[in-house]
Amino acid sequence: MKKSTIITLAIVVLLALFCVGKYNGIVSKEENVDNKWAQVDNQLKRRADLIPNLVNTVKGYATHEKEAIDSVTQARAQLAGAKTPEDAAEANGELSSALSRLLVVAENYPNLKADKNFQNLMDSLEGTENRIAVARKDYNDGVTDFNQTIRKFPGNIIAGIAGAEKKKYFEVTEKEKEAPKVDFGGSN
Amino acid sequence: MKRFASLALLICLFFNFLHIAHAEADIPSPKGDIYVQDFAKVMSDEDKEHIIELGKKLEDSTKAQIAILTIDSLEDNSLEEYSNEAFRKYKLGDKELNNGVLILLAMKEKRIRIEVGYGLEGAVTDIKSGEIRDKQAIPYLKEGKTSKAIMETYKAVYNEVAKEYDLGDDFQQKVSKPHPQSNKSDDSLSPIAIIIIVIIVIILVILDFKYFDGTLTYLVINILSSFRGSDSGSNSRGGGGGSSGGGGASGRW
Repeated sequence: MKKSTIITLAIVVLLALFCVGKYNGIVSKEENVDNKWAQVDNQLKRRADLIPNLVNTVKGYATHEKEAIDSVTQARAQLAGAKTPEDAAEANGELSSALSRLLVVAENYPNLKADKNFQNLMDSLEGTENRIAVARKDYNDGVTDFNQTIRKFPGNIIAGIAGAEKKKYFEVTEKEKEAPKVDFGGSN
Repeated sequence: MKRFASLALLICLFFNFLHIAHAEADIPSPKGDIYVQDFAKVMSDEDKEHIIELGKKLEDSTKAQIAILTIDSLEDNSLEEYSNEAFRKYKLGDKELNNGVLILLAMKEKRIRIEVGYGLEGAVTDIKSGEIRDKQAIPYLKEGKTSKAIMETYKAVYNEVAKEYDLGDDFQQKVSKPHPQSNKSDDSLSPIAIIIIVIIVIILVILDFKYFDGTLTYLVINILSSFRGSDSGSNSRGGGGGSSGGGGASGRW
């Protein structure tokens, strides 16, 4: 064999190895994003699961607040039906704002606020909201990492061949930002 | 040349000390045993030792780690974000089991948070940590008995974790019910005292260089630097590699 052939072959092999490594990196990063999304999804479900209990407790004291209660129930149904990160983010924002409206209403019922069950639900709800925030941050970090990899050279070429697409962030909706914060926890 | 190097080292140490004295907005690196990170200096030495003893005992039998972190101020960070970041930085709990708990107090903001790692969310639920916050922490904190509040909170969390691992009754710590009682608050060094100490040290160093050719200074520097070397060694315990997903409860006093 000629010397130049050997060199060419070596370069091709090295290049192929490099591409395989890059490709595997993209795959595991994508897997990471999916995994992080599963965690966000888990916490969103957990939040949705707390709602019926909360609604029942509130109903026990505030029978006349039908409107506020109904909007929470509706937002919950929407969240339960959400499939994509965008839908979920939207529905979650909706639920947040409906919940905070309900909690503003709850302010007017001292007996409700003193209810042990209600206080426990508030702790659970706050904890879950915080878990969502953490899971969302982890997910978004994963998305940033993945998107950077498939957009930078040479990852973009391999991603193009493999058909990897940019992942969407789980963003805080405008509604959620506007929602008034009600804090029952520990301020007694 | 040697003298110059030592002097440079001394200056570095001095600035390092200043850096530690003023807690920055970012999360301070853990010092000594992971269980007590009292950066706000609100705990008595006795309570600290007690917690370290408890913490070691628990970790030896379960790999679970419960840690205290006190800071002067959150510096505009949110309590929840700060505590989650701190938890992950300190890597509380076992890497596989994620069985750590962080009790964070921000003194200026008067905020407390009990952050529970993934693995203990079943034992120390949000509701449970909320109860501990309301019963063991906030009543004492309102009375200004910070060290006592931390001790009681630590024990209450400890009991829950011990229960989870079926460690039996001899692991259970007595948690006292809060009741009003006059108690002196332990004070730390005032800024004036620190300035005076610094001035005395500088005078001593100058005298040493003048009369003893700096022998004593080199000796002290060597001892200090050897201490710093061994500090990260096997003597103190670090985090086990655990993580948290933001479970637990927050509150204010």
